[in-house]
Amino acid sequence: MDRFYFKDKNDCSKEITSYPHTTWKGVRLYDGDSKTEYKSEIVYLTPSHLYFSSKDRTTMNMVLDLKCIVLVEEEEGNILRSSKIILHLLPYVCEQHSKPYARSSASFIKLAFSDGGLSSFKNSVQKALLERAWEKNTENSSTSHPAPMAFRSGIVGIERRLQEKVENNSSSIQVAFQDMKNLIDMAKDMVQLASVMSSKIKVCIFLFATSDCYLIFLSQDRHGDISDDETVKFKSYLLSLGIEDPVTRNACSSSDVFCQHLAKEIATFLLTPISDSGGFMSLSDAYCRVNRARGFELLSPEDFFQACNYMEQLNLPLTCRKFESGVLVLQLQSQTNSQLEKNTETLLQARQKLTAFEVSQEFGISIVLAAECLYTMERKGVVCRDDTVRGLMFYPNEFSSRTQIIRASLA
Amino acid sequence: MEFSWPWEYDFPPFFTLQPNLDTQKKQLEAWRKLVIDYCRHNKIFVLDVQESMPLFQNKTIDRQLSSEGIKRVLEILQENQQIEWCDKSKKQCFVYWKTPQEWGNLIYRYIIDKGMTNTVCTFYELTEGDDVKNEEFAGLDKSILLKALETLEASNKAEVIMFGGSEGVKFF
Repeated sequence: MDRFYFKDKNDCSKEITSYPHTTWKGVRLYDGDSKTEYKSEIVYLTPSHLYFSSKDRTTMNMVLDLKCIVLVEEEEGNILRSSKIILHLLPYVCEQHSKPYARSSASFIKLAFSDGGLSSFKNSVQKALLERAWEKNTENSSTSHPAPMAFRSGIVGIERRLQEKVENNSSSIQVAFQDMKNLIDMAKDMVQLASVMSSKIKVCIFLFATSDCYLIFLSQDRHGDISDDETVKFKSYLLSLGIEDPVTRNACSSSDVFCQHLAKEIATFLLTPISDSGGFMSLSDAYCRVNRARGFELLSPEDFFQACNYMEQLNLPLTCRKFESGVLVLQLQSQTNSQLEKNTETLLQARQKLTAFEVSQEFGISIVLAAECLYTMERKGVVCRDDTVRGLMFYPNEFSSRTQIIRASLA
Repeated sequence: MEFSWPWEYDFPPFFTLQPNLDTQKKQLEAWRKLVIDYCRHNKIFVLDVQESMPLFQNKTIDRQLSSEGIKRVLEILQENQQIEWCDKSKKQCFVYWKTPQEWGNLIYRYIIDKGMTNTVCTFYELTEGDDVKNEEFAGLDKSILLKALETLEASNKAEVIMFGGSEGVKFF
């Protein structure tokens, strides 16, 4: 009941009379579960208030703001008790009004309707709560003072308006870019963090590799920092992620220098992944990996391609090579493709027939590369193909090998 | 006697035209040999390209030579003068596992051996008659026979005679 306050009858009469249909008589009020002295009230519902008037009070009405009401419930009655409406109210808000109850422990009030109208009251209140008319009122009041209209006409007016528009646009763009700046700053922190992490992990892995005892010591000491193979593996993936301090075009004097630096960077970064994946990586794969590692300073495919072309000239451990079909790959300088071909040949001898897919699975290279390898071998006459609807299979080139055997036996 | 297939016949890549030209050469050579051997064994004188036959199709390994492949094989055979197209439609060809010249010589030797020079034989006698049943040229295709006899005519060893709708040949 402490959410109720008194208001002069004259002040509310206008609001009350404009909603004549939402009136209920003979309403009894309960503060929480306990009865109150208000036994026979007349209740008026307006879009934002509930008014309680009585013959006992000649000058004042009691008011409850609808914005205080959280929930409307109906309490089922029985033989001894009548049905009631429960209004759950928001916590007490101190306002400078005179009140019937200064303080109350209950968070709800009950209304009993001796003259009927319980369900219509409930519906009306619920409807009013849904409409939230009090919010609109406050909004209106805040926007009720429209900005003074600038009186502009003629060419000057139009020009000014345009000028204004441009200024607005540029300021909003600036705001947008400020956001970007923040983001980039954040990213720098992240990159730094990553590099610190990766150097730490490097040390851990080094230790892990050198000594098992150390590992036990470490894992106890660092709360299971390196607990099993999986985390080590995961961390080695992490290691391959980031490029610290990527080369950018701005930092280089000419595009030649840029490409050379870039070539070095790419070679250093991709050396491990490429040697892990059979000594080959298609240029598109390599491009994606490098760009992922660079994070923000993304490369254009053209820059990347040019940098790759510099590799041979700079005597880097990687070179760019073009297969006869036009597929471009990065390959280890040390590993000529003969290595892969030799491996494939051995595999072929063991299995008697191979698909590009099988080769790619066996050596962890992409299918395109596996196919290229097989085509190269085919051109060299090492393998021959069996092209069916089930796919392209490669067999040892028995056309050559058998005729050679026959020739040898004839000789 | 069952025809003994060469090893290539069970080698799946044999039925794919190899893109590597060296390999392809060896492959086509194997095909050329196979076609001639197969035709000789089965006494096939005229090959119908569109007819499906075990020659270009191995059902055991479920492979068959494409029509492009067949075309290439026949081209090779033609270059070696081991086939001759029956007409311009290139649907049928004579298979010369012996050249007309060789056939001619074979028949002429037979005639000499039998002492049948200066007599007239009908074509039917020469290829289908009971006496020639065991000779290699038994069942020889009539068109090829004619070509063979023409080679003999050229060297004045025989003369083809037409009489009353049937054809005969007189050897000298």
